[in-house]
Amino acid sequence: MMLNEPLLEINGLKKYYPKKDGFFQGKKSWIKAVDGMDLTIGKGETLGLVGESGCGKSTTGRMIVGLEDPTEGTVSFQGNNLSQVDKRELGKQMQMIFQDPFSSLNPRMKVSDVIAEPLRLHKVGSRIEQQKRVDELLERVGLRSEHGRRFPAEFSGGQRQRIGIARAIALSPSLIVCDEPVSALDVSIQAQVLNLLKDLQKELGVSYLFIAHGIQAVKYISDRIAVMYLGKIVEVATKEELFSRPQHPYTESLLSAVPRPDPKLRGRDRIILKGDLPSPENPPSGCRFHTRCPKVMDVCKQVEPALQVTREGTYAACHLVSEAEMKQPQEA
Amino acid sequence: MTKRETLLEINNLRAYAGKAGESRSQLVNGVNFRIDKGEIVALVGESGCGKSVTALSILGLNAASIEYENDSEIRFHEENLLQLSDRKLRKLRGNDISMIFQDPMFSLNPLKKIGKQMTEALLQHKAADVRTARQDAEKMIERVGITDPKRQLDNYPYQLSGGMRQRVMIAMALLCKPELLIADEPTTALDVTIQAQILEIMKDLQQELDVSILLITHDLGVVAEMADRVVVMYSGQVVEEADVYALFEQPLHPYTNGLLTSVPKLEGASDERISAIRGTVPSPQELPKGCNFYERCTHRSDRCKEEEPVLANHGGRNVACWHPVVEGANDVERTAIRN
Repeated sequence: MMLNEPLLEINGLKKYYPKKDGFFQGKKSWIKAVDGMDLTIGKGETLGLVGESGCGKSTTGRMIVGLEDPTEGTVSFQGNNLSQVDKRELGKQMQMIFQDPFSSLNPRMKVSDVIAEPLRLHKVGSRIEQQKRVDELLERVGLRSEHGRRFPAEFSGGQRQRIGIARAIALSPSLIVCDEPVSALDVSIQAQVLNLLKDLQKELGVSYLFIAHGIQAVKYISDRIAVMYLGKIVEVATKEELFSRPQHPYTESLLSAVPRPDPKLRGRDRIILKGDLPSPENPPSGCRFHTRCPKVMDVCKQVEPALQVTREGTYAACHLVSEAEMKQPQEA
Repeated sequence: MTKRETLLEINNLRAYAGKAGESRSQLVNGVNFRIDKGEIVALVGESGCGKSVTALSILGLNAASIEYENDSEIRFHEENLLQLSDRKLRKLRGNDISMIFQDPMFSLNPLKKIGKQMTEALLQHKAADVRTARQDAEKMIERVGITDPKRQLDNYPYQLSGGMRQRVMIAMALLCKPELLIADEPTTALDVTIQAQILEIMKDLQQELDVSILLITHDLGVVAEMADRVVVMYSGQVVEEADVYALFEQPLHPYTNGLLTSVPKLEGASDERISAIRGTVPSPQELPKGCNFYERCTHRSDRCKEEEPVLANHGGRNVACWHPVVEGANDVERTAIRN
C-alpha cells in the first residue's frame, strides 16, 4: 500500500512504569505498558489504534503528544526527534482530543476562553482576531457563536466533545491524537462526532491517530489500523485488508467477538477466547498471546515473533505468518 | 409459536423525580411491556431515556425521591410490586428476581470474601445450612467458567479481574434460581473478547435454568445476539416493541431506524457515510407537547408537533409514531451534522 509522506515515526518505543512492592517498597518491578513498538503515520492519514484495556494504546498516544516521556525509543515528527523539540512549539503541530468531555474542559472557563486558550498561549493574532477565530471554530463544529459565552456545564456530552474538537483544531495542527473520542457518547451522537471528524480531515488535511476499543468506529474513520496486545503491535494493515483477511489470530478473534447488530448472524462461527488478559507486569514468554491463542504451537511459548511483512503486504507478528512465508520458496 | 405464560407485566408506569404539585420532572411516562417465561427481553435506549429507572422500579430500588403515579402497575405473580411492603420486596430480591449491574466492582462488597457474599442470599432465602450453601456456590461459579472454584471463593473481589467479577455476579444472581434476572448493561464495562465470553455464559445458563432475562443495554450488537424481543425507549417512553428479527429487518419508528443506521457496519465496504440522528435528546424538564422525537425526526409532520403518538399495533407490532417507516422505503434524509 502506498503510504503518504510520513508525518510521524515511532521507533522502538517503550514505556515502563515502576511498581513498588513490599512493605518497605524495596522490591521494584515494572509494568510494561508499551514494550517496543514501531509505527508510522502518513500525512493526511487516519491511523486507528485498537486493543483491549491495558494494552498500552492510550500511553502510546500520550507519549506522541509529549504528555509522557518514553522510557526508551524515539518519536520523530516531520523528521525531528521529539525529545529535542520545544514542547510548547509542538502544541502548534499536535493536539489531542480526550475521551471524557466532562473532565477535559475547565468548568470555570467560558467556552470561548477554552477555545481561545491555545491561540493566546501561542500569541496568534490580536484579541479581536482571536475572537473572530473562536466564532468561526464554533460554527465549524456545529455550535453557534453565542455558545461561546456559556460554561461547559451547560452542554451535553456530544456538544462538549465538539468544543474539545474546536480547541484541538484552533491552531490548525497537522496531527490530532484522538483518545477514545466517542466512547463516552450515545450511539446517535457518536455518529455525529465521527462524521464531523471526517469532514474536518477532508477540509484541513489533518492526520489522526484514532485510539479506540470500539472496532466499528475505528473501521469507519481509519485508513490503516494497528492492533495492539499487551504493549506490542501484533498487526498493521489497511482497514480493507484487516477486515477481509486478518493475519494475526488475535485480530481474528477480536473481530469475531464483536457483537453484530443483525440477529440473522447469530449462528455464525465465532472464536471465543478463553481466559483473561495477562498482566503487563509479567507478560507471558514468547508470543504474548500464546496463553489465549487458539492456534498456539510449541515455538510460540519460547520465541517472540517479530512484526514482519506478510504476503498481502501488511504487517503481522505471528509465527504462523513467518511459517507461511518460509514454505512458499521451498515449494517453488 | 406457542404462546408463553406471562411472568411480569408493566402497565402504564409513570415515574417522577420530586413531589407531586412541585416542579418535578417526568422520568418515565407510560411504559407498558411484558416479559414472558423463559424469554430474553432487551430494553434499549440512550442515556437518560428511563431504561434504568424502569428496571429499578421492578425491584423497588429507585431513590425514595422518585414517585410513581397511582395507577402505575408492575404485575408479578398477582401482585403489584410498586405497592409491596419493604419486607416483602426483600423476600423477592435475590430470590425470585435478581439483578446484575454494569460495574461489578461497585456491586460486590470489597471487604467480604467471594464465598461469603455468594452464600448470603442462599442462607437468607432458602434456609440452607452453610455447608450446602457453599457447595452450591462452588458448583455455580464453576458453571460460569471460573477454574479452581474452591480457592476463588476464598478470594476478595479486588483479587479478581473485571470479567471474573462479572462471572461471580452472574453466579450469585442465579444461585437462588430466580424466575427473572435483570441485567443492567452487564458487559458495557468489559473488553470485547471478555464480553463475548460473558454473553455466551448468560445465554447458556438462561436455557439451562429457564430464567427470563430483562437485558438493559444501549448496544444494538448485544441486543441482536441475545434478545427474543426488543423494547425501544426514548425520552421516558416506549417508542417501539417487536420481535428481534422483525425489528432489525424493518424498524418502524424513525428513532429505531436512526439508531440502526448510525452504527458503522463491520461487514462490507465502509466508506459510505453513516447517517447520524441530528440534534440531542430533549431534557425531561422541557419535553415538547407532541412527539418527544419531533425535533430530531426526519419523518415528521405538523400532527407530530401537536399530538403525542401512543403505542399502537402496526402489523402485529407496537410502535408509537404517526408516520412509521414504511417497508422498503428509505426516505430518511442523510443528515449532515453541519447545520
